[in-house]
Amino acid sequence: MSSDDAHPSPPRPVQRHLLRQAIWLAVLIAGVIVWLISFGGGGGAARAWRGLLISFIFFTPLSAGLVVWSAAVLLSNGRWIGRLERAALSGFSFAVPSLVVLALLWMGSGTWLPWSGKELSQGVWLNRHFVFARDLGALIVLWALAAWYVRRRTSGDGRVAGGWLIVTYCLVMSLLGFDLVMALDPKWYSTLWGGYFFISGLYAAVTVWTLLAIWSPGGTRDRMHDLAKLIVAFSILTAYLAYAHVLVQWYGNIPHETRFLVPRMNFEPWRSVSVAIVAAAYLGPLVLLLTIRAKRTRWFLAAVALLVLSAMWLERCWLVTPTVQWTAPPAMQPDQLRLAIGLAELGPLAALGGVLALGIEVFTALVPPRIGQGAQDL
Amino acid sequence: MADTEAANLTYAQIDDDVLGAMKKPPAAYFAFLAVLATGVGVFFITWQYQIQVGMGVAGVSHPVGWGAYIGNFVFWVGIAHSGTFISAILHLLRSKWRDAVSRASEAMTIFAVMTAGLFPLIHLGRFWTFYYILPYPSQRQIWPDFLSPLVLDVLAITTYLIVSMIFFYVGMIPDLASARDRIAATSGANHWRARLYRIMALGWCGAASQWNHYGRAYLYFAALATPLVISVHSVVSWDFAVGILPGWHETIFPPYFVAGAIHSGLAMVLTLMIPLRRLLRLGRLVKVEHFESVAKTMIVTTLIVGYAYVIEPFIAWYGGNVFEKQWFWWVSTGERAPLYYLMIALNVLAPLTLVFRAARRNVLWLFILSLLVNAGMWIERYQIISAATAHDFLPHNWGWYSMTWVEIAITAGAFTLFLLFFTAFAKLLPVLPMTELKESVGHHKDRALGQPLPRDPGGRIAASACGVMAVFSRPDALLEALKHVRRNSTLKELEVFSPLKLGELSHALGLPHGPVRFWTLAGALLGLGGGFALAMGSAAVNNLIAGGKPPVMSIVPYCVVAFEGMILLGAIFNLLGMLFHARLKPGGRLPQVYDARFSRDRFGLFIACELERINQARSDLAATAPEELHVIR
Repeated sequence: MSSDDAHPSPPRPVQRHLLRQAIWLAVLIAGVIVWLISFGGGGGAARAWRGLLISFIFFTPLSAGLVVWSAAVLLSNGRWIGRLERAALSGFSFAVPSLVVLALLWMGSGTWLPWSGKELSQGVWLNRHFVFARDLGALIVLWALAAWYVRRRTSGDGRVAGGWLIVTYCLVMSLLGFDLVMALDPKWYSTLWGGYFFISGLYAAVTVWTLLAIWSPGGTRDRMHDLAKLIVAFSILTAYLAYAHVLVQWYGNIPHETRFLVPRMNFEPWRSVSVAIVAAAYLGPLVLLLTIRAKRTRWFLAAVALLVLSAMWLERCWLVTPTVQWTAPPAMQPDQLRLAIGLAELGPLAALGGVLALGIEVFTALVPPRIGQGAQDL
Repeated sequence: MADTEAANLTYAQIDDDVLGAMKKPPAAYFAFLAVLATGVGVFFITWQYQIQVGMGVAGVSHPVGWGAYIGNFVFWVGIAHSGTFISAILHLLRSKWRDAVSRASEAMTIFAVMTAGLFPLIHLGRFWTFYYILPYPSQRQIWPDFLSPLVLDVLAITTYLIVSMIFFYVGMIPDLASARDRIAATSGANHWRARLYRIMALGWCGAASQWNHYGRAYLYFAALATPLVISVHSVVSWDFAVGILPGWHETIFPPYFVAGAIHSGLAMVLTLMIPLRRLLRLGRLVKVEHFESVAKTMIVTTLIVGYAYVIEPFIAWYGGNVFEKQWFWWVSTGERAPLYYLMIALNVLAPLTLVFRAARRNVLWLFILSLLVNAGMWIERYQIISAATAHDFLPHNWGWYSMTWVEIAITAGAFTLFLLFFTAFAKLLPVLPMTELKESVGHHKDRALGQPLPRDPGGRIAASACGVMAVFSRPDALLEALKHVRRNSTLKELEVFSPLKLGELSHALGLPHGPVRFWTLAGALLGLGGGFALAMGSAAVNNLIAGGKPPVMSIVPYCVVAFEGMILLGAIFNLLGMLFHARLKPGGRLPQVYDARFSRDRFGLFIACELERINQARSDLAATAPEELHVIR
């Protein structure tokens, strides 16, 4: 037996790209098929659409947040980003899919939106067509700015575009949070909701960035250490904003506010889900990544990042599903509450995850590793 | 480029500039102190008048129970924020621009918290009853209720004051050693200042073993102080937000208060540092670029504050709550409207000019803007606190509040008290962190050194000490020498002295991370558990159902108590661990091989050995080409 037979040569880079792209394409197709099948499942079309909504509000802040991270590091004069910037900018590849999914959600909103067709105190503000028209417009503006920034960044500095991108991200994600999550129950409202939504989006984004960094050429142990510290910082920040919600509403004990907390804190199965989210997404990184060694160990950091991402996706389910179950007629019944994580939720997760991963593969194949004037590998 | 200019300064020039600012002040300084002291006198006399006559002399009355005093409290706590923000958060982020303003900001924090702490006492009227709120084992078994946000506030502010003072003091220890050595050289070892700095410097000698523990401990202080900064003003905001009054009960209050606090704190940094730079002639160290960085940070806080200003009325309308809507309608169109729009103009519109580079680099505009933002943030605090109670749910309960002359005098007096503290600090302690500035100028170039101080003749070379000391003027030369000695010499008992923290030193000497981190972790865990135990234990003793909340297992608010306990004990244990392992204590003795220049601009590499091996040590060190070589028998 020749030595070549004993140790087959690894596939060339282009082959590896194609192989991975084929895998992600398969995941995407499988996800779409599963999602379509779920229309005939227990929850019907409304649940299938809400499954798509859950993954939309998970992947859109995450992917746009990846680009925003590049701008944030640039504007804060962070010189550590180096070759990892391309991975951050690759979030832009989700632009078209996110717009398509939002348009689909608009098309199906007559089926899944709990208050569709009802007259609400917010008047035209919560007219479903106005809701989706402004959200779609806002998202187009955000991605257009992201395109401007990516273009400037790949050819020059991009500080001005980056500044506008960060501000627009915060505003657009606030709007999406208000319209697509808070407004699921029009009687519940919170001034902090927009802030929580965009900060948690940035948290998920930096976690994905870390995962990408672990497998990218610029992902040295020092860079993993830096990104792990950002994960810890944003887990604390996200937990802080969640706690700020809970404390004020727990103290106030006002019915129009506690209608959000009660199905999640007082009754199963969502009470256990709440505990799991607190343990894995909010406090997990602080404990698991406490030591320097944990932050610099490739496989361990990847495991923690995957744990956080799983918990953050669960958190998106936790934001959407109990609200719908608790406010659906007959309203305020604990026996309405179900965990409801099945094909309708997992199908869109696979489909949109596959789209994002495929987009990242294509983006990194097209864009050179080193970007911009200030990129340095320190 | 100014950064280049600053990077060309020598270590000695940094010392000269900073310690030179502490020289005997001119008569104008004392005249200014006298003016401030007069203001402080007015403050205390007015307060005494209020105590004697009663709270009726203040404007607070039904329905407005919280007025300017609580507004002042929130304002000064806010001012206190930027010190720790600049020092701790920017230290963790490795931002170099913090060095120019961090010490003054930390001092500002301490004085602002001290000023803030007076206002709840003033507001109490009979302030001596304040101890009711402290958790002590009263013989009547009356414990404070840890469900009350006011009790949480006491814990948060106290923790913040203690941790900020520790952080301020620890950061100053190497600089106090520089001041100690300089005053001893120029004014004599028995000068009162030399004695003061000798006590305060805790026997700091800049040995590598000290730097190793100090560097780790300082990092942990920063890591503990960072969430503390966020928590303190959040807890202050909950004084209002957990109530159900329109205008107060808002989930956005914690981050909004924190952003506003940093906004006003950064403005106060500019208010203080711009004249200080000119008066103390610190222009070589504090550059326009540093002010520009502060201004850039203010753009971020401006946007967050502006975001909150937009979201509040939007959600008041969106929610459809009639009380919320009428309150915002009244605030924005009623008698309070001028203050409302002035607040927006001063806190958001005026600072938005900072998006233009020319505005960020115009020192005069920055100074004017800082005053405008300070005024705007004071108005915001006044507005938030007194407007909500003036216009609550029931129209027949609506009222009005305006400040009396007593409240105005006490408010103005607080500013003079704060400035008095700060003015005294500016001449008594190093206003810039010399060691950190030395780190930021780099050490790779062979540059001309300033005039060295005279060497301390007092027992630097003791008869009992044996060994050889090599002196270097550049840290890279020291590191090379150290590596050479460790590689080639059979003598292993080494010590290194440095006027600044050299990251590579611990590695070159093979020093481990050290055990301070275990002290810190133990303190933090003890505080965390102790906080829950204190809150639950006292609730079990009192067992009162207050506000419909369960008395013992109210985990949600008790998290605040546990968090503050974790930070407080974590910081205290961190300090104790550092003092113990770095062998620091008040008035601690310096090693006999210590040279006063080691706190200024020279580096020492000492090989300890028996008398018979002195020649070997000397030849080992001579091979490293030191600037000086001293045999110590």
